[in-house]
Amino acid sequence: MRDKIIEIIEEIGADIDVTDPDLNIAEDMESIDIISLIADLEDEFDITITMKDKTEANFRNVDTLAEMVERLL
Amino acid sequence: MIQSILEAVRCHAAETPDKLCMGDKDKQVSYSEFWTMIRRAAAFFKAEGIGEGEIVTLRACQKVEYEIAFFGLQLAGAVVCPLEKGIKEDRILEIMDFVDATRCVSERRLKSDRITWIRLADVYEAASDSTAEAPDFPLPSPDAMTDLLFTTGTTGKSKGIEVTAACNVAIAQNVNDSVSQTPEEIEIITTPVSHSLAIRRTYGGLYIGSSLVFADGVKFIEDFFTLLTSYKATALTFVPAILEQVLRYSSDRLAAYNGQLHYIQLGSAPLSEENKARLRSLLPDVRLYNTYGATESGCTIILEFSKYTDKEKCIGRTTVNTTLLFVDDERREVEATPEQPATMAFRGGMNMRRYYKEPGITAEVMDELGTIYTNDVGYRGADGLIYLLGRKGDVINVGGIKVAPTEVEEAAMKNPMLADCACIPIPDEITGEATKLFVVPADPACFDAKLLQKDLMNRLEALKVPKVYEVIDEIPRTFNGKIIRKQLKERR
Repeated sequence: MRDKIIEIIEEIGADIDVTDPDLNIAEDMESIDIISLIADLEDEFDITITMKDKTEANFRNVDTLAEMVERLL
Repeated sequence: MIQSILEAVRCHAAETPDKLCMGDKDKQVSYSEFWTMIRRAAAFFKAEGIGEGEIVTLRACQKVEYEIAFFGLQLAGAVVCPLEKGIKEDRILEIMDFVDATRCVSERRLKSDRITWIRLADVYEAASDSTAEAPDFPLPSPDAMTDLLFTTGTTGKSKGIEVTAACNVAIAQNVNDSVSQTPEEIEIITTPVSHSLAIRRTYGGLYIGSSLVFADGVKFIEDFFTLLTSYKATALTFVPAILEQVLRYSSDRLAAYNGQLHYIQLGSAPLSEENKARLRSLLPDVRLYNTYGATESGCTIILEFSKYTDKEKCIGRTTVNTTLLFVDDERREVEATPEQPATMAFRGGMNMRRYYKEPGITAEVMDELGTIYTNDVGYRGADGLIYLLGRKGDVINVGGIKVAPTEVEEAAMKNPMLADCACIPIPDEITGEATKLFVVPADPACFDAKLLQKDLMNRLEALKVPKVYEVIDEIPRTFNGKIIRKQLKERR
């Protein structure tokens, strides 16, 4: 799942280095890219990311995203 | 007379010390706190060895800390060169080499050892240290360069734009005038703080003594609505691309703020007629504005589209410090009409000083009087308002009829087969030029160019209907939603 999430982030071309230990997707990604990320995650994993799930904590890094997706599956 | 934004802040700190100056999702500072904190930040920068006139790069974040560093640098006599939050380090190095800068203030560590990293958290810590002195510093003189802004630009290469203290005051006055801003406003700025739109709205607010709130776009829409509610915000600044996200996901929630909001201003790119109409219907009591301007010449024309509802291509009236001229190719003033539109040029205190280290390019757009000549083509209507047809290279001349590509795009977007589109000129044996439409279908399997063309025949004059259609994965756009037509023209 992590690999797929990384692939999605890289496909969005959001200029994000997923290997950076200081990565904070919520802070570093532009608004429009976050919207694309949400849509792509929903499509890929067939989940619905609700308003409640759209938080900085869930969008911090690949691990937190994976935990959220796991929970919503 | 106030000669710099810093001087305005100092006045407000004395006159309305406890009033909210700015806030974000975590922090709020009053005018007196802000003035004290930027003086401590300036002392911090001086202690770091930052000298008068030194250009210092500052990587953006949508937080109060960033603004403290921004104005602390100006008060220390430095020139602030704001960088986008998501900028790549290679690009930071490129800009720093170009402007001979060695220091970068940033939240995040920078990898290159060629950059002296100043941690933003350290600046904020020094500014918040209540045991530290907040010394006085001389305010910038009107002709001192305070900002060096790099354009994202839809054509050509990125350029550094020199802005002086006096220029910022003139722009702030334009901003105040454009939206009839009062000191009572609490305005949420959702656009990137490194971008001229946000910088100038910040200047406008600080000049008049209103309150500013910084939001990180609308990426977490709950956060945006929390700010809107908790700060009781009365005004919003958007670029169209960000507003579209709100309209797409939360239009009903936005409508609930009709009684709270006084105005919404949009800038950087034109808002589609469809979204203008949608906003008017969602927020019938809110003043709605679209700003026309450039980093080179800030906030020059404003359209209150909640008042003028049926004026296609209209960009509104000039702002208080703006003199608009229409000129021919030899820069001679001419009368512009719908039949004979002309190039727009601007005179006034809001104009940049020059492009940094680019005398050749400066001469291409500016004369010795400081008039800035744009590539935009338009005219003044009989109603006294300004009408914009497009950029000189973008306006399409189909057999003598001037076609604005935006008109074709807006007509095409009414067809549900399309998710996005962009119109460019192509050579045509009979009419000289014709229109071509790049389309992103909503569902590629259902797209039919012939059906689209037939539909457009009902919506547009025959000469304006695109002759050629090309399906494309994505329309190239800048961050704020402007179409990068140059890339499309290269494909044709």
